[in-house]
Amino acid sequence: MNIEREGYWYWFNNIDGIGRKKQQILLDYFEDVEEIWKVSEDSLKEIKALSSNDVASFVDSRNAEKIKKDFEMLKKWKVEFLSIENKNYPTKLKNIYDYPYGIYYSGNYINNDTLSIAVIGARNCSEYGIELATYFGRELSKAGVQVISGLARGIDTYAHKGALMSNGNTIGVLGTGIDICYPEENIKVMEEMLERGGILSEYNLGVQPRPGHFPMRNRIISALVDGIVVIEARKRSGSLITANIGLEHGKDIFAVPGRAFDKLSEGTNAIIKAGAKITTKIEDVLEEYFDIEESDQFSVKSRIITNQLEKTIYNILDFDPKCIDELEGESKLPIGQFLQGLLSLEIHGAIRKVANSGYVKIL
Amino acid sequence: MYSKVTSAMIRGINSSIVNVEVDISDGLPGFEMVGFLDSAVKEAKERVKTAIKNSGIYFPPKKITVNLSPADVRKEGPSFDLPIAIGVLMGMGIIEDSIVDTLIIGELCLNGDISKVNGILPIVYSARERGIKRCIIPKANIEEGAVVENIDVIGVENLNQIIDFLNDQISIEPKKINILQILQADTNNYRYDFSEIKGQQHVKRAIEVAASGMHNILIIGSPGTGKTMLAKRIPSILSPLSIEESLEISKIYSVAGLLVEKQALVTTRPFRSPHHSITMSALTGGGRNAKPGEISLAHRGVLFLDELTEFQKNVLEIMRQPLEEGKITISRVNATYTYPTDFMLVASMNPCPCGYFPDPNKCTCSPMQIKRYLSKISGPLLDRLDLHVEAPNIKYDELNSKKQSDSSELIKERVLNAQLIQRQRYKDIGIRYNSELETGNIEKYCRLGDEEKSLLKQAFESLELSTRAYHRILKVARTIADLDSSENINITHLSEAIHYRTLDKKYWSKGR
Repeated sequence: MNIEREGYWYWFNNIDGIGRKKQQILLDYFEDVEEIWKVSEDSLKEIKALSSNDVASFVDSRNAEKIKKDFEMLKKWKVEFLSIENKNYPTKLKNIYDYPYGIYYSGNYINNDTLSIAVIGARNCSEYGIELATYFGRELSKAGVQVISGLARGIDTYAHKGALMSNGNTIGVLGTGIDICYPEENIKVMEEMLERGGILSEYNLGVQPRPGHFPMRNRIISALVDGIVVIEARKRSGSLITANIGLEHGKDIFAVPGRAFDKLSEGTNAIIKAGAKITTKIEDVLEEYFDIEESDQFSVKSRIITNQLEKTIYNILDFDPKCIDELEGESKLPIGQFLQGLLSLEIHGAIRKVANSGYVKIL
Repeated sequence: MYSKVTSAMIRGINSSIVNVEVDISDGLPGFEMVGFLDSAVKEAKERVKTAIKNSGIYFPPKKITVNLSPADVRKEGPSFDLPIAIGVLMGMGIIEDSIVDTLIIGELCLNGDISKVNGILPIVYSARERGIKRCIIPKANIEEGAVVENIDVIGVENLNQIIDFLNDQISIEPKKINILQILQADTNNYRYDFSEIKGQQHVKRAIEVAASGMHNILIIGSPGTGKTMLAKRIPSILSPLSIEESLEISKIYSVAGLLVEKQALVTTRPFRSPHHSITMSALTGGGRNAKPGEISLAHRGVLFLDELTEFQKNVLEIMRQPLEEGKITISRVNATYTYPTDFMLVASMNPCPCGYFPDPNKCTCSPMQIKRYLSKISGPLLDRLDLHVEAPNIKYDELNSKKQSDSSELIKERVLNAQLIQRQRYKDIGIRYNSELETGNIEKYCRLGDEEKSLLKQAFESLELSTRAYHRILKVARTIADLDSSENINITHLSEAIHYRTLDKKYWSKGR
């Protein structure tokens, strides 16, 4: 039976017990993937790196029928397998030493030529973090940047959401198979991204999330981008791993500073100390790649609120939630008027309510 | 010889007449009781025999037959002891004259003492309606019996006393009490006051609105934010009971056996807070010996369900119909009872299973967990909660502040004023509060101007309110306008009402 080249690569990427390292050894030894397919059991046994189990599963896996079926399955899910030889395989990904030999892809392809920036951070982030992530996602995307993140809970999600707001191409890199939505509540964002962005994973359909997958996923994020913006990160966190990998890959690291002893900013503050660029607005990122003039071409227009009542209330709001009693006290307005102003601001999208803790400004 | 005594039994919170017929004749000595009796009634024969003997009266070896009619209704409880004993004594000739226009009820002790029974108030009440002139009841129940006017209520302590009384050897004065005096004496003695709570101005305001229109309210907040404290103080701002209301409540409490001795009437609005382990029938009432449940005990008062999400789901769902109709009908094998359930529902809950959402340093719940937690409250139930309000965490400064907040008395004044406006407006359509407005009348009484209409439209679109919120918002806005003594609902009233619909909004989850 005939198998196309992509099929050989697909098979090569899906042998039980043969990971990235053993793949490399096999390729170094036999030089081509088709050669590996044809190799005899005896010559396999000569390779010391392979255990007897590995050899057994290797031999078992050479099943052309199954590969065909798998490809049909992928088609059903609208997922494409891209081998290292495929012209759509992201070129930037080849620049790292442990690039995957094949990836799974759905949605828009990665644009290899535009500036790509990763916006990453803590899963359990603050409201301030949510605002910043949305802002960076939205504004970077508006400026034509391809926003890449990990579609995890927290900062990642809001970076994607922000990018979708300005209709940019945003790519999510998963630590699971593309048919698995993890975390579950992101299903809506994920669906939207499948339509208007792209989703990429190193893992085949049906692969469940495992702790070990996420650092591996991070290396792909780092490989695909030109710079990494870390919004909020704790001391020991996945975001810092990504930043570290990014340094190894020679990418620019940007970090949004936080308050000195704020737990959620310990990580970002630490990488700033280590040399990451202090970043408070998208210009800080963009100026590394383009000449931006002082005229604030990209800058967010600060919100103009004409209504005096709304202005009074807007001015006492912050990016950290303030509870309604506190706001009312500070505004010194009668309750009815105060609530009227607050509601009107909310309707106009200038502020938003945070469940159980009050209101924050929208950046 | 045949004799007949009139007594009564409880059905729901009303009563019906039971005739106790006794026949004493010669024959094989025995004591037979018939008439669809449960075991507590059947046991009466031992109590009656022994009590008569211990009162120093010779109990003759005759054939005694007792019938309780009507015989097609099941009779329960020990309250027929005394009428049976009187019937027997009449048959024996110890009591000489026949007794007319008199209702007798009471439980006997073996030594001849008469002890208290439940449900005296509704029994005396319906005795009067049926033209009975005199009720002889246990002395321990005399206060609640005496509440009913235009009927002689006589309290007796033991068998000998009632024999002497019926034989005209002694006279006992009927007890008279002044209801108005009791009611007035007992106002303003509520233990808790709103001024004791620092901060939470917004929640207090919401409670004031809720109390003014008797709207149901849900308070959401982390542990330690004072949800329970706030709820406990709600009775302190509710209007005092009218005589009719007091009698209504007292009847229920009388049936449930919750009126304590020397207490003639329930004089304060009930505040019931059942534990979340409560069963369905304890909440609605019923059981084999039907008794009113918590929702009836909260009639004309407050039912407070603390930790709403911890209640069993089916227990919560059965409240839907009573909340809407103000009464519950329970059908059992033997009978069908209707209990009134016109209460204000106050519920409290945490924002998430661990309670600290959305504090990222404390809350460990995943969004899915929170979603599941919130879904324990079904849409239809949420629909019946007019106001949702969040109780934020209190800052230390607020706890320590010297700032005086409004006392219950002050709030009550405003509430009463708003209720007065409502009563005058609705005097023709037979309701009292805005919360009772039906859909057809909402359009008539909650009319909005153009500006208000456009605000509501905008709010619905941008805040993604659910359609079921629409009428709730209008009703609550009406109450807020009444608190402001304003005839029209203006934009500030409407804005405030929209604020009290947190759970309808899209963002009862993290972020946006």
